[in-house]
Amino acid sequence: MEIILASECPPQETLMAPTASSHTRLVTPGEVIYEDTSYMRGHGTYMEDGCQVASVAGYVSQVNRLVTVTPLRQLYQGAVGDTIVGRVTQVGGGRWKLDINSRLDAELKLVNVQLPGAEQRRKNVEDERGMRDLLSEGALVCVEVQKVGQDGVLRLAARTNKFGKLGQGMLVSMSPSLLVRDKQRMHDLPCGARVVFGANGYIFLGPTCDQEQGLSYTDSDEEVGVEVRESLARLSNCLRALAKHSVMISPTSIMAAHDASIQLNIPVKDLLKGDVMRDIAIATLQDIADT
Amino acid sequence: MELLSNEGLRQDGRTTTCLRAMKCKLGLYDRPNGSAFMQMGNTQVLASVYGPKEARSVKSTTGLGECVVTCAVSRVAACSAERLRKPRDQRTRATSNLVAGALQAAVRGSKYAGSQIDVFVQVIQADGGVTACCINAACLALLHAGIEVNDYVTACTASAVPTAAHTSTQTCALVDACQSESSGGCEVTVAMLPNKQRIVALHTCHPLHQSQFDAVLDMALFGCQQLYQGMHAEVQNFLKQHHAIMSHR
Repeated sequence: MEIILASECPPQETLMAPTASSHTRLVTPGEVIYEDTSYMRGHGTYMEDGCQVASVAGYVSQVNRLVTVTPLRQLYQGAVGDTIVGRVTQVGGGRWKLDINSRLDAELKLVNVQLPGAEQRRKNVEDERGMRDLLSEGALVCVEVQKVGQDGVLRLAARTNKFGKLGQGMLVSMSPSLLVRDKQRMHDLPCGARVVFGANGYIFLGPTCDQEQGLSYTDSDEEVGVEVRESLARLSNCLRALAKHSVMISPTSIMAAHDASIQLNIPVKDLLKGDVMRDIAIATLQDIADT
Repeated sequence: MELLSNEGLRQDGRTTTCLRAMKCKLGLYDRPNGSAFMQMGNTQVLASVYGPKEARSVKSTTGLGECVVTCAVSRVAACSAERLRKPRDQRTRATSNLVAGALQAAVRGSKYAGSQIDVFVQVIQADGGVTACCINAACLALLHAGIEVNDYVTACTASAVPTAAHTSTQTCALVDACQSESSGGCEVTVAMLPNKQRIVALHTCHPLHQSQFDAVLDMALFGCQQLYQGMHAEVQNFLKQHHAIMSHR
């Protein structure tokens, strides 16, 4: 076992010289942003005594008169149309409750799920009884946000065969603000992995499967090869390294980190060491800056 | 034992208005939503925040209830001079309640209706001002998690000790008391919202004469403001570093 003291780790500022951030305004809670009531208050701010005050530690962004403060790390806020990954926590009453890294659990109604066999029909009592056979507690699903409810609860849907149960693979969770916004959320990487970047910060890594087959609700017991498993583990450790050093996550940055780790000939388990994680993050940042 | 010398210096060489060396750090672990480390002199504390998440342990009766902040303080066995048998006991439970109350006053609960925020604090080393240090660490962890708060919560202790050993009638207020000073005099913990100038928690376990109270309270509030400066600087530093990296795409 190797132990490194936190004090022995080199400080983070050496990772990258601060660049574009010089003109962004950084505020902390209780700090007055504008002593003016003419601005509209967005997320992360509140009004008090005619002043607009920040309520989170983050950067100020302004669109016309709307001022918002975005924290560097936060929970998933929810936006209609996002593809997300969730874990079932409760089954019953014609709906599943899903943990989606948000402040409340989201709701997936049976009505909003396309049943196996691609049939669009009214769901009956039998279907409701068989809900647990489709998705039981602890199952991972890939779904879409259909609506943000009045009370803040997200309503989900899985209408096409693009969505559904995620089978064999692994899940890495991180702050959703680290993910690059992208329309395409599912990627087949050249190293034999299928990655689902849930907009909620849950990233699912699994072996590649047939495109046209899509996701179903049955478990496959097909054995996954050792090489694929190893590259999945490498990817998940690379993701952790990037997330730890606040490097934005996108298919390009993951592949850059993955390739850098292979180039440096680092065994998969060594990717979890503090100094190696740092090297990978630096290599990735440089790779992105070069291209 | 003389807690304050004739020259007005304390045992560790500080003046009455001097705080102990303070150090803090945001972001220690991957798993929790937010985590922080806080050190005040020899007192060291780790805090981690999980949530806000769907309220499970606290059941609301009708609809979505108010946001609930729960806190659990535990101590490692070797945190003080005597080895502890249990990491949690009646005293840590009392501290937990105090910390949770102080945080509840700062968190904007209306934004998190129906959710709960769990705060776990671990005392690694205890040398006076443990409650204050726990509150400060928990506050930093909340900020790291990006939870909406009205303001920072900073906490500091103050103590009243006799000016010289032979004249026990005259006392002098000390800021940020260490273990020997708080057991020899008293320990008043004050938590406040520094930008709002509002006290959110006030606690003492020792008898304190009314005439001394104002001086001690002022001293603790002064300490809170000093700590705010230090914590503010660290949060700014954290933001600067991470925002610089995150703006690379």
